[in-house]
Amino acid sequence: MADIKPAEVSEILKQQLAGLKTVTELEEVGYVLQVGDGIARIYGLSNVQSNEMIEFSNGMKGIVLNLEEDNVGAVLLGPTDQIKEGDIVKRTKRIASIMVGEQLLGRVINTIGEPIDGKGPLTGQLYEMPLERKAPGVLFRQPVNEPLQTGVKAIDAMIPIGRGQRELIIGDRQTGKTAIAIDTIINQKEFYDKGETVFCVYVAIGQKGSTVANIAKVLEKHGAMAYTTIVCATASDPAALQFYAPFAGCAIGEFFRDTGRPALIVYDDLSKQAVSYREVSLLLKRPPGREAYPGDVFYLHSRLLERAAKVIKNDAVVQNMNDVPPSIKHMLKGGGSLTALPIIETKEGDVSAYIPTNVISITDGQIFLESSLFNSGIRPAINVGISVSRVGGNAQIKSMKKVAGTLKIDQAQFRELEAFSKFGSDLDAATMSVLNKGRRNVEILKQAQFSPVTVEDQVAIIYIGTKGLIQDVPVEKVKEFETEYIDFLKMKHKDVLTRLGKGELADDMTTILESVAKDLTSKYKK
Amino acid sequence: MNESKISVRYAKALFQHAVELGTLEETKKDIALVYKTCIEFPSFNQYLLSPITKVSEKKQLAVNVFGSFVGKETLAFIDLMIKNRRESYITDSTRNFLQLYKKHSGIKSVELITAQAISEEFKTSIIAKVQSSMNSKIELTEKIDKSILGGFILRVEDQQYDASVSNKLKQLKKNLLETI
Repeated sequence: MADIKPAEVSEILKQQLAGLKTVTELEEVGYVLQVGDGIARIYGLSNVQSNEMIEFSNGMKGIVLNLEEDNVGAVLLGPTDQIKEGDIVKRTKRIASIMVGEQLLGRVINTIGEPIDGKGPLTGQLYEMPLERKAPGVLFRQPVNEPLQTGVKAIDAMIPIGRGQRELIIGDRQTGKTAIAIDTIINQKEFYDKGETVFCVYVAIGQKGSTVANIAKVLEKHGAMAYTTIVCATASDPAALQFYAPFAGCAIGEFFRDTGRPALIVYDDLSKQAVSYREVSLLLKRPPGREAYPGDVFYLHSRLLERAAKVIKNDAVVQNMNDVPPSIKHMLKGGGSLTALPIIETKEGDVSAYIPTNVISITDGQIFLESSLFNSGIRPAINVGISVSRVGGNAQIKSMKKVAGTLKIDQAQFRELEAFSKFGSDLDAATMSVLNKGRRNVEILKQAQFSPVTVEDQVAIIYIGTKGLIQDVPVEKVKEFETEYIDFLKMKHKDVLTRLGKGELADDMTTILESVAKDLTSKYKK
Repeated sequence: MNESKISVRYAKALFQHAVELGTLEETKKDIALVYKTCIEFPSFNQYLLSPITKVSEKKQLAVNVFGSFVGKETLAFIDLMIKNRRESYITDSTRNFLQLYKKHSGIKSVELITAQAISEEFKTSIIAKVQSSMNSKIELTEKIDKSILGGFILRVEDQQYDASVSNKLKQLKKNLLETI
C-alpha cells in the first residue's frame, strides 16, 4: 500500500466535516411503558407502521409487531436489560431490512446483517432488502426445469430437486439432516469452479454456537465458503432474532434470485424458528392455538417458503415484478432461482405433530430420514417409500431420468419383500432376484459424508445397479466395485462420462458401461 | 388479547361521566394525582396487583390513600376497577383519561429538555413559538439533563425536535463511520 501522509488524512476528514449536514428534523417518538422478556410496550409512536424498525435511545433496534389502541408492542433486537422504563424510542420510518451484496459471500452474519466472524465490517456497495417481502406473483414464475444437483446419489436419482423447488428435509435428531444440506452446499463447488455459481445461504436458527462454527469450518475446508453466506442466530440470541433469521437469509437469497442468478437456501431448522415465534407471540399476548403455537404459524412458514421461486427467463416481464425493493430495481434480470431446503426436526418420528404437517403440506416434497435406517448403517438414512419430490422429476437430466426411472419403485418394493423374507420361508427365484438387486442397490446408494458425487458418476453406477449387472459381486464388496468401476471409466472412457453428464444415453455408451462392468465383476466371482 | 382495550374503555367511561356531571376539571386533578401515585410508588401498585390481597382490603387501601385528597367520583371509579378485578389497569386508564382530557381541551403537552437552567425570556419565546405554530394551548414541563451536553430537545406530544449537542455528535460519529 502506498504511504498516506497524515496531512492527507486530515484533509479528507476536514472535507467530510465541512460537508456534514446536521439538519435536525422533527422525529416521531414514544416512550417505553413496560419492558421484559425481549418485548417492549411503547406509548406514543402514534403513526408507526407494523414491521417498522424503531430505535431506542441507546441505539438498540426493535421491530414493531403489535399495534394496539393506546400502545405499541415491539420486539427488541438486543439484550433486554439495556432498555429501561421511560426510555425514548424513535421511529426510523424504515421497514425491517438487511443490507445485502456480494460481499456477504464467505461471511457469517447475524439477523440484522452485522458480520460476526471477526473479519471486519462489510465494505462496498450494499443493497437494502426488506426482511418481509411478498413472493413473486404467478406471472413472474416459470415451472421448475433445471436440476439442483445435491451430489447425494439417493436424492439425485430418486427424489430429484429442481432449482426453485422447496424440498423439506425431515427426521429425528441425529439422522443426518444437516449433513445432507451441507453436502448439497459443498456439491455446488463444481458449479462455482465452472463459473455457474449457485449462491448458497445457510441459516442456522437456535443452534449451538459451536455447531455453527463447525459448519463454517467444514465449508471453508471444502472451499465452499467462497459462495456461501451463513446467517446465524444462536440459541442464546433473543427470540426475535431467531425467528427473523430465515427472513434475513431469504432476503439475501432473493438478491441473487432477482438479479438472474441461481441461489440455494437452507433453513436449519424451522421447528426452532416456530418455537421462538411462539415465545414472542405468547409474550405479546396473542391467543395460543394448537400446541400453544399462534394461529398464524402456518402463514409464518408459507410466506417464507413461497419466496423460493424460479423466475421467468424474460427480462421484459421481470422488470415489472411485484414488490421489488427500489435498491435493486435497476439490476433486475430474469432466469434466477431460489431453491429452499427447510429442515424440520421431529420427535420420535412423529410427522403428525403440528409444525411437521404444516411444512410438509407447504413444500414440494420431503426427504424423510429415519434413525433406524441410520443406525443400521444405511447413510444417508433416507426412507425411500415416503420421501417424494413433487416437481423435481421434470428437472432431472435425461440420462438420469432414463436410468433411475424405476429405481424408487424397485427399492420400495425391495423394502417390502425384505420384511417378508425375514420370516425365513423358501423364496422363489423371482423374489430372490429382487432381493439381491435391492441389497446391492442399497449399497450403491450409501454414501459417506462430505463426498458428493458428480452427476455423470451417479448415472454410470446407477445404470449398473438398476440393470442388475452386479449380481455376482458380493454385497459387502459393492462399494469396492463401485470405486474401481468409476476409476476405470474415468481413466479409459472419460468421453462416455462427459456425455452422460450432458444428458445423453446412447446405445454405444451403454455397451461400454456394460462391458466394463462385466469385466470387473468377473474378478469378484467365486 | 388486546389489553389496551380495557384501559381505554374505563378511561372513556370516566371521562364521559365527568363531562356529564360537569366536574371535568376536578376529576382531572384527582386522576392526575392517582396516576402520579401509581408511577411514583411502585409498592402501591404491587399491593393492588397482589392476588392474595382481598378485594375489600384493596378498596380500603384506596380509601385510605386517596380518601382525603380526591372527590367522590374518582374514588368510585377506583372502587369499580377494583371490584371488577381490573386493578392492574388503573395506571393505564388514568393515563388514557389524561390523554382524553388534553384532547378535549386542546392542550398539547410540551417537554423542554436542556443541559442547564434557561432564562425566563428564552422560555417564553419558545412557548410563544410553539403555541403559534401548533395553534393550541400548551402545558410545558422543563427538565434538565446534563447528558445532552448543550442545545435543547423539544417534545410536543409524540413529535420531537432534537437540537442537542449530544445528538449532533452522534450524527457526526455515524457519518464518519459510514465513509470508512
